[in-house]
Amino acid sequence: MSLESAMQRLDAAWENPEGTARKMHADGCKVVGFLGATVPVELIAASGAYPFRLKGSAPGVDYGATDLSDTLMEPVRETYLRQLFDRMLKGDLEWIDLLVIPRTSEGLLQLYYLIDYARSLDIGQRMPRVYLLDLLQTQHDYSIRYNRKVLSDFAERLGEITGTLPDEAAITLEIAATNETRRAFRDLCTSGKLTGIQRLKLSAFGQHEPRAEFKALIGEFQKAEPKAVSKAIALSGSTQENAAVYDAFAAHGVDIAIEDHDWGAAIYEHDASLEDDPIAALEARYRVHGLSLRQFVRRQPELGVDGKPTQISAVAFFFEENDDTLGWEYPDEKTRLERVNLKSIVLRGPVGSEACQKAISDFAAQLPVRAGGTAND
Amino acid sequence: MTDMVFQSVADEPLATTALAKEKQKNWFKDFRTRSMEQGEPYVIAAAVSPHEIFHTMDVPVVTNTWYSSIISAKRQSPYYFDLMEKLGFHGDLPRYLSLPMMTTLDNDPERAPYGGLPKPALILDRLRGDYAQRISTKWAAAFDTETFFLDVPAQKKLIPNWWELAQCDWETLYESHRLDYQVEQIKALIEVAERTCGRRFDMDHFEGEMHRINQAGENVARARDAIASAEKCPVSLPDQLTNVMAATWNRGSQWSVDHTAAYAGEIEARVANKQAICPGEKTRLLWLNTGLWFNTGFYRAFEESHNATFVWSMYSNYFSDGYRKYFDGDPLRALAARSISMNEQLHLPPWMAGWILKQAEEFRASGAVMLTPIGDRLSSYGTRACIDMLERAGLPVLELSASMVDARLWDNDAMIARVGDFIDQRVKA
Repeated sequence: MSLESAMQRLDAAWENPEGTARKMHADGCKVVGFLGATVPVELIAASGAYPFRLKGSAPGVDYGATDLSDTLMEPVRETYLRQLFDRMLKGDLEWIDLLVIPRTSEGLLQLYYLIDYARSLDIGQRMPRVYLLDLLQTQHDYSIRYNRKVLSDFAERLGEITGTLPDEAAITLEIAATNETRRAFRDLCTSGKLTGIQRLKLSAFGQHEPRAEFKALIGEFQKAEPKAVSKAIALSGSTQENAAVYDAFAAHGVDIAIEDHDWGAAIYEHDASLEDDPIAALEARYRVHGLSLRQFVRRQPELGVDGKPTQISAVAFFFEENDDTLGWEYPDEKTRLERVNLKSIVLRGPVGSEACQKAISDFAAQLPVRAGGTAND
Repeated sequence: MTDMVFQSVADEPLATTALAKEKQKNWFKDFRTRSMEQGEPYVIAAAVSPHEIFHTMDVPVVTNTWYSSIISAKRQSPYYFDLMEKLGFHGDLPRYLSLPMMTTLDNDPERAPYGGLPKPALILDRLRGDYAQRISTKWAAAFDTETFFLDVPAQKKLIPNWWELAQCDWETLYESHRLDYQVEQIKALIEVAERTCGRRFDMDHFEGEMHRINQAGENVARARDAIASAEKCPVSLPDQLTNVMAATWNRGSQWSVDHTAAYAGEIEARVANKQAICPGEKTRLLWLNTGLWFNTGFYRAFEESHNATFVWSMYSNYFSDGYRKYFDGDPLRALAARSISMNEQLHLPPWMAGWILKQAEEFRASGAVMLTPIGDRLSSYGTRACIDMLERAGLPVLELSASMVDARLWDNDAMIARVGDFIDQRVKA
């Protein structure tokens, strides 16, 4: 594979994130879809199923109105959930063998119950089979015990789907392989060889494409030259399924060097331990480090995936419309960032709005221009 | 013809309403004396958390939503919302649960209701959404105090007609694995409560509290039955709220048992004496979702103009239907059952809508008005599916989008016109 063909493969997956999973299903493989960044893919893979994470819409693909979901779902809900629910009502996701919904945000939990209700209606007859993964993110010892049972039950459910109950050895192998891929991706992210948009695409690639291909692409991008950036910032806040925010900054010469949302590089920041019982290792990894709205300790947005400061000059906080959670931390974060000489700005969605575009333009103009080097130098 | 037989008590609140207000006023005076002047510990807690632990230890509990409603009722919410924006919190962040914290961040006792809240021994919150932990953590930091977060495993199956199982067969309803978790959590909470408050938890005393809550719930059920079966509504919704909520905040006390008995008795007497708040009543309405705290008079705005009364809101009888938990064994498990699914029962569409339909039938209501909160995603969850279920079942629903606490966003004339039109056009008398 060449770098050029790697780019083509990356773009193809970006435009059609369900393509591979659909092909797998057509070829007879059991396909387990999941939402959010807190579902242990290691368990799914250990059962022999193909894990892939769903988006509300494919980047660049306008799914248009959410007419069906709007009849049952409040307009203040997360855009990607409204889109997903609309697609479920239309039967677009009926083919998935099992859709795993973690309860690591209230929006996801409410979606699970709404799907249940929709099944009782005429318009809800083509819903996929869903599974609620009731993973708690509190640090209580009784939460840990509860979660381990939850993950064991999940493994059994996967076994029912695939006919292969994930055993300790299989889970351990998957943990090791997943960790190795995460490490490779982290190394690439800190090498300065990716633009923000490429990193976002590659990060998403790892969520819905085969691990072997993910590793191969990482390998190809490692052969590239480091990219000098003149203006670099970090992005914090709401999830970004597409590159609209990245594109808006790039149009003003600003690269997003790191992000903390749950489609970005931070998904790969932490490994699961190979020292513990595999269920315990997965429980700890996803409870503590699973990026979600319920996560207790959020990462510092200015740090790279290696935990070291990046060469950025500012942090942009983007909160989607009706955000009720992430914005609480902004005033304290602003103060903390000022202490380390980093500017910050709050951007409100939608990114295409005139106000948001102007705010990005004005903010970009204020940022200092670097003499050279990558965002990680 | 019927109108002539009924005596109007439109302008006569229940005698127990004044007593309930007096109780709350005295409670707050006592709280201030003990906690502010004498330095006794107290706790700030979410409404849907097990206050019973602290009641048993004689530790005052201030409910954050209660204080929020007080701020709102005193029409001070606009000041604190402006402050919120000045401090850098964006405008979509939820307001209902954040108002009390703003009084602490403002640190102006002259302005805050009752002089503001002193430093608590503990802030107790339940993670019913995603932001409770963020508000409470920030609030606790401002006070330099401790937090305890109650987590809640998700209900796997929503058994229909929850109210039929909630009082006696709660083990089946709420799922044993969830109750196991919750009991462990409550035990951990007791340890933290004992440490932070410096008091001992007495199980015998607690068991007595639990029985008294069931007794008070029975009295609220009596009141519910009297209102529902009355030919004309004998008591206004604001009166219902004042009495039942005072008993709820003071649950477990002998006062709450006696007060609810007097409340039920007074309503029953009104029914027997053919007294009604709107003798010409032709239409009964339900108020859905949370209350309109800064303007409870709104509930009564349609009695003269449309002969329509609001007869019910979820506060009318959740105390009887949701709080009562009869038990033979471990009272902690009964407490776990009470607090584990409060929010789900009140806000999760199948449970919420099922209960509302039951009330509509029993209270003979022919329409409902639902407050869909602005600026509070959590409180909006489930409203659209609930409306869908109610409409499918034949109960017309008017959705009003408004803030529960922000008077700045409320256009009273426009809202009265909307409800009036709704009654005229969609609600059958």
